[in-house]
Amino acid sequence: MGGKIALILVLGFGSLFAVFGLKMLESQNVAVDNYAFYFNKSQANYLATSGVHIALTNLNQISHTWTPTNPYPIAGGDVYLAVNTPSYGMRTIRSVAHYNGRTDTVIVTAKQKSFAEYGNYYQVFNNVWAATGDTFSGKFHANDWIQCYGDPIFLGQVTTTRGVKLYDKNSFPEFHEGWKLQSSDPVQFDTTSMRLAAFSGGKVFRDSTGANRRTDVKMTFNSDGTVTYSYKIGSGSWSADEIVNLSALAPNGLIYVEKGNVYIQGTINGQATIVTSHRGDSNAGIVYVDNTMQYASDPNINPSSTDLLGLVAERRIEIPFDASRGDFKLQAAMFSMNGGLTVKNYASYPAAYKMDILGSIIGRNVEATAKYVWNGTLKKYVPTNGYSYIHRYDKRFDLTAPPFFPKLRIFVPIAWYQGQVQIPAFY
Amino acid sequence: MGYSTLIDVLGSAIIGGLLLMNLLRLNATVVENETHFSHDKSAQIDVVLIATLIDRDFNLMGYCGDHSLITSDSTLSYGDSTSIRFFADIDNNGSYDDVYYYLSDTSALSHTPNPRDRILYRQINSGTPQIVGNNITEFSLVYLDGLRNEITPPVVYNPNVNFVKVAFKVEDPFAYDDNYAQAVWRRLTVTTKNLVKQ
Repeated sequence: MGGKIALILVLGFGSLFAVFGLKMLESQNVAVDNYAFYFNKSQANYLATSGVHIALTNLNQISHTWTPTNPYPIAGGDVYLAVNTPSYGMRTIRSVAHYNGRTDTVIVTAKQKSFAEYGNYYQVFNNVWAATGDTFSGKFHANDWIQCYGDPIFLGQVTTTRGVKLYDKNSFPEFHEGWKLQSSDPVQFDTTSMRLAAFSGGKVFRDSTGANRRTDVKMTFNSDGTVTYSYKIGSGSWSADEIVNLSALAPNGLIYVEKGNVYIQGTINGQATIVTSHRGDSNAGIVYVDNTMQYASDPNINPSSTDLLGLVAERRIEIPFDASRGDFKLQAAMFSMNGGLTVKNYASYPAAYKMDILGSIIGRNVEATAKYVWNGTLKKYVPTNGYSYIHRYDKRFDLTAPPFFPKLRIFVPIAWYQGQVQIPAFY
Repeated sequence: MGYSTLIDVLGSAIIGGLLLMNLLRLNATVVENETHFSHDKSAQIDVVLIATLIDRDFNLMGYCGDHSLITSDSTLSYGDSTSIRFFADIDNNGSYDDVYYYLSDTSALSHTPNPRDRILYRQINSGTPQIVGNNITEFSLVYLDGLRNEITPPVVYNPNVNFVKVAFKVEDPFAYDDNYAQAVWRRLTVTTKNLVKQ
């Protein structure tokens, strides 16, 4: 009798425990499934992200026309890549990763940034130091140490290939958006493509006789959208002034001076990039800025201004000596491949003047532009001769650039999109 | 029927009683374990659901289908230690959406036994706030600049923010023996790729 009851109890509880056991097993299974989903989903995402980096590495180091060979088996998953070219200097990378039944997609838009997106971009600092009183607007990059003397101010993000070098223990540069190390991208650009573009829809000034003489061009931009220009081949005389609409002179905005120099000033109403090449002549490839060069619609007042000017010199951009010039404005994105922004004979100016720059300065090196002496009253160095520049970055260059303005070599991602993940029901 | 039968009955009653007591104790343990498993499972599922959503939304911070609209300094409109508001093209239609994550106070879930649980809301543009999780007990946001230095909140249109660290904790609203099942998710650094200035 008692044995039967015990048997019934054992069987009853046994059944009960079996039910609970099953439920616990189900709970464990769901918990494991839940964890496995998150793990697999995360892995798929990491693999898709890795795929993007594979594509970027190949685009930047192998060829800008690299095409993927799918699939890429990585860490137990498969990555499928597709690279499209939506427009010049842009790439869209689509990376789809499959891992243990989960799929994730990452779509990245990458572009070759324009050099104009930097307020300042230099190859080397040499013996020049960013010093107290200097305020750098926009992004700042150097393929070198960034040398700081005292308390220079960097308003935009700073990148350097080597680091920040302080002059002494009293130097405290201000980095408003921090600084970080970044790989080098040299201040070099092959202007051949610009030459071709100028031939096809722009304006080319050159010695067409085959004598390979230097070509000099003077251009005064007028606020009504016209440009007054004359030119000189070799040691010949200057041509008579011609006045034409800028849009007629260079419909695509590109003005190319082959083996020559250009002298510019005025007020530009429209868009243009002026290029000077040297073709081995040490006295060619220079852009001379004679006096104020500004936009007809000032971006300081009208941020929607569509006037754009790019200056690209295979040698340097130079402010020629003119003791009577005084203060002046320079509004442009400037690319100086073998020099910087040079103020000729700066120490010979009778006083210190202001050079009001709006735009970007990209150069091989930083140039001194003024002579400084110690002021015991102000207890700081003050300029006495030459030009001290007040530089502001043109925010429009975040999104646009003068026509055909040089781009950096590498593609960098500007937009990451992550696909939606289907979350399974676990209950 | 004699002493031996009586001893049999008493003996079996004692053994049966001991067995019954053991079975009852075992039953209680099984019920407790089952409850713990069940609550743990719920907490973990909630964590995965919330983390999956946060993973995606935060990775899209600053993204816009029309890349010409992407600017580095107007992405994060507001951020403090428990709420964040940013622009992201959630539906990838080429225009920015205003995404707002915020936490209720504990009174919103005062009817649950857990005194710490709150609701995590996600609001897109001017739409009705959606409940992302209703058993959040901690939701923490930390903002870092490009050098991984912490930026003291609140941050308002601060272009220095390059990274956002996110952590949250989920607890079951009901306790067993005053123990609330809990699960924690912590992403040391959500590298919001569209925030990082190249």
